[in-house]
Amino acid sequence: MFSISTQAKYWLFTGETELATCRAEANRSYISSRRAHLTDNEVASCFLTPMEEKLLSRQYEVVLRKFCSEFQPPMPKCVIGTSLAYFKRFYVHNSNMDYHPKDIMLTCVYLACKVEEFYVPIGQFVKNLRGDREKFADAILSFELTLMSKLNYHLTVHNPFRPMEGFIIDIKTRYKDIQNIEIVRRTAEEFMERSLQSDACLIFSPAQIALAALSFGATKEGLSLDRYIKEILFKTATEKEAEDTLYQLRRVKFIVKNTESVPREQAQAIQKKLDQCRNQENNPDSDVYKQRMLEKLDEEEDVRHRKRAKLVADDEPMFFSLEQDR
Amino acid sequence: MPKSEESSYPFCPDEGKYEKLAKIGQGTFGEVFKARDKKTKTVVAMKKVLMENEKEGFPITALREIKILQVLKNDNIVNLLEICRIKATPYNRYKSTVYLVFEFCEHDLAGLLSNPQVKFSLAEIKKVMQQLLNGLYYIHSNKILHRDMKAANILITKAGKLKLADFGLARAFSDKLNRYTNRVVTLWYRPPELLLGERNYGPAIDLWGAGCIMAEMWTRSPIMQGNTEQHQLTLISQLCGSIVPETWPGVEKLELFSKIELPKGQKRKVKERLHGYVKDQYALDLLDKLLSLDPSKRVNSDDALNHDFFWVDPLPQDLNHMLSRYNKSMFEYLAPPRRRAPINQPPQAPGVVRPAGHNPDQHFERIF
Ligand SMILES: Nc1ncnc2c1ncn2[C@@H]1O[C@H](COP(=O)(O)OP(=O)(O)O)[C@@H](O)[C@H]1O
Ligand SMILES: [Mg+2]
Repeated sequence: MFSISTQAKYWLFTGETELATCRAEANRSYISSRRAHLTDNEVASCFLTPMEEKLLSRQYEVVLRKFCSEFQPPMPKCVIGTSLAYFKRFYVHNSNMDYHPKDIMLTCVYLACKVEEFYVPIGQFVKNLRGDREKFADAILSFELTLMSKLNYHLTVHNPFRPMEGFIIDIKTRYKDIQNIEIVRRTAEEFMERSLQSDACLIFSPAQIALAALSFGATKEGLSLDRYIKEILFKTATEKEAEDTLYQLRRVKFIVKNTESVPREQAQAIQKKLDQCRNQENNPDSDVYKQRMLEKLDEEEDVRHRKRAKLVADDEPMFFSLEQDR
Repeated sequence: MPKSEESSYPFCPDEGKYEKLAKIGQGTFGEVFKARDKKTKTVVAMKKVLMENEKEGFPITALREIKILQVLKNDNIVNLLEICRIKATPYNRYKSTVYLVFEFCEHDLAGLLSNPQVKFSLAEIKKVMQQLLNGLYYIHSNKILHRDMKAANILITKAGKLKLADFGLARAFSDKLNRYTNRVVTLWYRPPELLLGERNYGPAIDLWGAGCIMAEMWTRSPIMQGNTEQHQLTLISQLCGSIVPETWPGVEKLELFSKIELPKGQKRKVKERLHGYVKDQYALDLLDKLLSLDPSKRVNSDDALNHDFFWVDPLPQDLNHMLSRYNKSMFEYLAPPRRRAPINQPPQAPGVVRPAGHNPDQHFERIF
């Protein structure tokens, strides 16, 4: 039940403004923890701005989507939806400078696979990546607990896919005005796809997103769902509630429509800046990180950790460049 | 300057929040401690998520347990308070541990039953079973299977409230055709359909376990203590009658039906065999319905709750009065090894006391 879920309780924000405030706070807090005596101008040139952070996250959401769509074995939609929801939730309260999105992105997908019961062993999971796979596996596993705790262990994500099927069935049985709702399916699904690239899932319930998608599809076909919403869906509710829902659906459509893609050069420039200002303690390739791993290894016997030793000794940078993923 | 996430997250507790008081459990998957919140003094139970030797990171069973317990909120389900992570620091050599923090319950049913001083009246047994079935009714209506019913996973507070616990094997089910693993449920409480290889099973598996536990309320130790799956099926046949298509239509289609040797010509003797312990006719009748071989004929939790057993005198009676006589916690882990089951022939091999450590499948299945 969505209404009593942790998603409804903790992960729905009032709108873009509230989200921007949270993200700006995460950005500010990271910078203030390490700006030392830098002037404001120096800060601006060294650290990412909240805007740059947002563009970077968006860019990595694209990478995440692409990774998922090419994943073998083919992934159910809910795994993609859940991965993206984790990723978005993570960067509401954390800075890209503290945790690099390339690490978090893969960890989100791996965790979502497990939670959605689409079980892929780590060895097989990293076969979907090019580069040093053992290193990827290691990074994913080492960020998993951090991700879970930053998500406050709220692991269940309600995606809009099932509600959409529910509405389609309901329209077929109860709304005689539209004879063939199936014709809007394709456009509606495209709309949902696009919504994954926006903040919609942090602001609206899955049912609202699904209904907005169908209503968007209907409009494209010259149909309207307004009567369905007012006279059937909200038959027993007040006029105001129905009106309010129609208003929310318009908001969903606006937010989804306005997801802009990030120009490549811009994304690369931000990445370069990030390399300078990121938290090295959370960088699996940094010396501090490796040192810490070695300390951990000193005490441990089991095979997995000896494997890790081999890994940290090996110096090749852990890659996930944007070029490779275009 | 605190990092943003720490200040904006109200319930990500810092490391020193709890102090451990005692170890109270050792399951297949980790240790359980009694602990106290240093500030509020609230006593809790902390279940450690074992991460060592986990090639796949955070165990999927623990993920399920967290996911499921976050939705299940009911008087008869153990209450998950929070998840607590001891962060990796130089002091713990950068190893971080995750604990599930539960409301503390003073006893578990296995601990209570293994203490001969603890005596349940018929009315109190009714209360135990009523709460147990109520918990099952709640989880099954939420489309969750428990899959590990046994006395040690039934907690009882000193106020007499029963809580189903240990959702480490639980998972969501659907009414569609499914293929779940059949290597679940501790052998002694495993229903015949699982033993015969059924993979499309449902809530009925938990009701078999409820039946075993109900009988145990009188016998005081598990009623069928098989050493192997084959042996378990033999014990079941000796109690519930031969497993044949005449009484269980369709059983011949189960994968292992033709591969396993099943005792022939056994009569159903549930009531006769249990009569030595259980005098109440209504109790015997409900037991008979819970221990039905054919899962489609086994009583469901709703119908079980409507059974006359709960509605004729003596009516269910709260346990708080009886439990107030004891000021010590009783847990399976702290109890002496349990004695042989009294109604089983042939007796189990000497030295075999608990099923968990002796069933090589168990650990395997806990992981997948
Ligand atoms: N909330 C609790 N209060 C008191 N004791 C508990 C609690 N949860 C678990 N225990 C004790 O710890 C034992 C093991 O816990 P359980 O959740 O069953 O884990 P496992 O999967 O290791 O069996 C239980 O049998 C019980 O004795
Ligand atoms: Mg247990």
